[in-house]
Amino acid sequence: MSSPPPNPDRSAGSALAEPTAPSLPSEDGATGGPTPVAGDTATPPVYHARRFTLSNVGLYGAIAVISLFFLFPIYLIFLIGFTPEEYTLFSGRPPILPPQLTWSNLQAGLSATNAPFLPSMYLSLEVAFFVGALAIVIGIPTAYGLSRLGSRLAYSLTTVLFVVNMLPSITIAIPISVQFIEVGLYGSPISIGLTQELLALPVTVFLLVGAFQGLPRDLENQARVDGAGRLHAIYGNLVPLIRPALAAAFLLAWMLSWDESTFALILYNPASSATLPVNIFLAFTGRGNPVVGVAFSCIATIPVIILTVFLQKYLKGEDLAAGVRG
Amino acid sequence: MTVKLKFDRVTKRFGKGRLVADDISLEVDTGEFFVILGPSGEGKSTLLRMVAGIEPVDAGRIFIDGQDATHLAPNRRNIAMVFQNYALYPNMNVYKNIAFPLKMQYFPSEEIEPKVRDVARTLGITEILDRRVNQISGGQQQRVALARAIVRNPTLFLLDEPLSNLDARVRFAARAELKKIQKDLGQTFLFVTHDQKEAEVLSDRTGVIHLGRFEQVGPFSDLYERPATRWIGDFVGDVPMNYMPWTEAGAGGQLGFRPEWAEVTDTGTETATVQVSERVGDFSYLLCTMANGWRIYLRTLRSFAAGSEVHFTVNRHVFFETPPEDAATAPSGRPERLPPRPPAA
Repeated sequence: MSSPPPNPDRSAGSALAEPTAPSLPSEDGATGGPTPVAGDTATPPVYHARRFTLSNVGLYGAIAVISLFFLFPIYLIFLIGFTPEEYTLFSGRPPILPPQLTWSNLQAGLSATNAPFLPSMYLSLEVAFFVGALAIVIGIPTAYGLSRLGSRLAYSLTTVLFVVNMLPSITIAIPISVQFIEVGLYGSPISIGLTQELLALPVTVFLLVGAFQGLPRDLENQARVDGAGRLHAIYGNLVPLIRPALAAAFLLAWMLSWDESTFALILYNPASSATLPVNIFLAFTGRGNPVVGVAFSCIATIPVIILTVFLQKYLKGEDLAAGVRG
Repeated sequence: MTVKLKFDRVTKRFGKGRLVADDISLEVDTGEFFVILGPSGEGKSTLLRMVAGIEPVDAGRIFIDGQDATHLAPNRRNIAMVFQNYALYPNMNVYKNIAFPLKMQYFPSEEIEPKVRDVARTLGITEILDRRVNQISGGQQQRVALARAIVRNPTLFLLDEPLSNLDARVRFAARAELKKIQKDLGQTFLFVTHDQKEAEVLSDRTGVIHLGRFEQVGPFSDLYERPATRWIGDFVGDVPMNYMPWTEAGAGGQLGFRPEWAEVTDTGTETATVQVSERVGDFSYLLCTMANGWRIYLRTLRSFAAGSEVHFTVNRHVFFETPPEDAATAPSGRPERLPPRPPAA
């Protein structure tokens, strides 16, 4: 092209400016080609600012409504957790805006002698990182193997992995607890983590199989021909390319463990501490203070946000997308 | 001449069905540029992949340097391969891509650097060594893939249609360059393509593969001048070969000739009717019909209108003896890309 063409996005605007010839001028404007018709080319392209149309209003309105719908419960939790309880739980008409903020609910939870929250948070973090890491360590070879099988066989095997997720947790938790009691691991972070792994692993494997299948087979072949052993081809050449999927898989497994309460409750050994969801559950069910539970529900979102922000740069992988032609 | 690569009755089947290699035996000499030519989907790439060791062999054996390599892992064969899509490692820059095979051989990094720079200079990609592989053009990607193949000095190169992803203009230059590189290295190249021009320009010998077998192996000029079968006569060349019923030394069969082997003159012994006349450069290509209904292509400097009669003499020909049982069906079994010919009257 000899002359830089006007931005094709704007060409619709020039079409509007010339209602007599609706489509032709805009096409000429987009390709920058010379037009023999004098009247059309004489008109310079007209640039319009983005219009604030009715459909835009509808779109932003819908976004606002949906955001409100999802954020309001979180706001309510914050409200209850960080305002004195006489304004919320013990008030006939709870206010929509906090009349007064307080740390006392949080402090009550931290200083509680019965099921204190700090060890709970520590245990939860321990278990969640264990579940996330183990999901990656086991997930990579499993997913690689599945991705190299025929797609039909791989699909049915992946479905089989989800059997534990299909059954009600409670039916599995009790026999597993018995097993852990027998080996003396009952209530330990490892026992909770291994059990939660049953739920997390299928999801991560499913995600990673897709990622491996998305890679060109010839990348692995090339590495092999270039002298890499099979393990090096997988961990040195393929795994770096599925970093976004790995980050997502880790995050998913981590959050699944962070939220999980059924297994954690059954495997909870009162002699040691409970995970955070279990402790919050206990706060609601009698022996604790409900407002403290609410406050810590609020706190429980903070590590999730931190982790998501931290993994953000790995979650997007456009820079890795290209490199193979054809 | 020593044998670099040898296929010994190699057979390969996809699943339970199609044979892609049907009892193939072939010897490629050291330093030879051997091109495997064939239409798409004839298993050319599969042959190459079996040599590389990334596709298992069903039966038969493959020897590299006289040693049985049939079941050797790809990383133990000391071969280089350029895949059709180049398969550059997207997470590494150009330098690291080229250095990768050396790293796999545990070269110390102070030895890797001069080798990489050296091969980059040869291929003219020194300026882009720091770039990411998705920031360079197709031609440059092809050079990087080639550099990565050359860098550790293998003695057998496998190239799977490395030019097919390039623009026509770049492809022309890359083709000539590839031939020069092979001559300079003096190593054996096994090159797969469906483009007969590439085979013609690059190859010392070409093997044309069809239905899992080598239909003919030899210098490309032989394929053109002396096709062993009618299938080769049709596949090789810009236009399919022409045929006329013929009897030679008492054997019935067909006479095959290329358009330029016939001369269009008013005193010609054969007659045909012009159906379509196409002007290409100085020549007119005439699609004609013979009296028996068979179609032929003729080439002449003169112009003819459609429907007019044209006389010609066949100066050179090849003879295909048709076994009697095949005679009735002889014109069938042709590649799909050709216009169907009416059967012999």
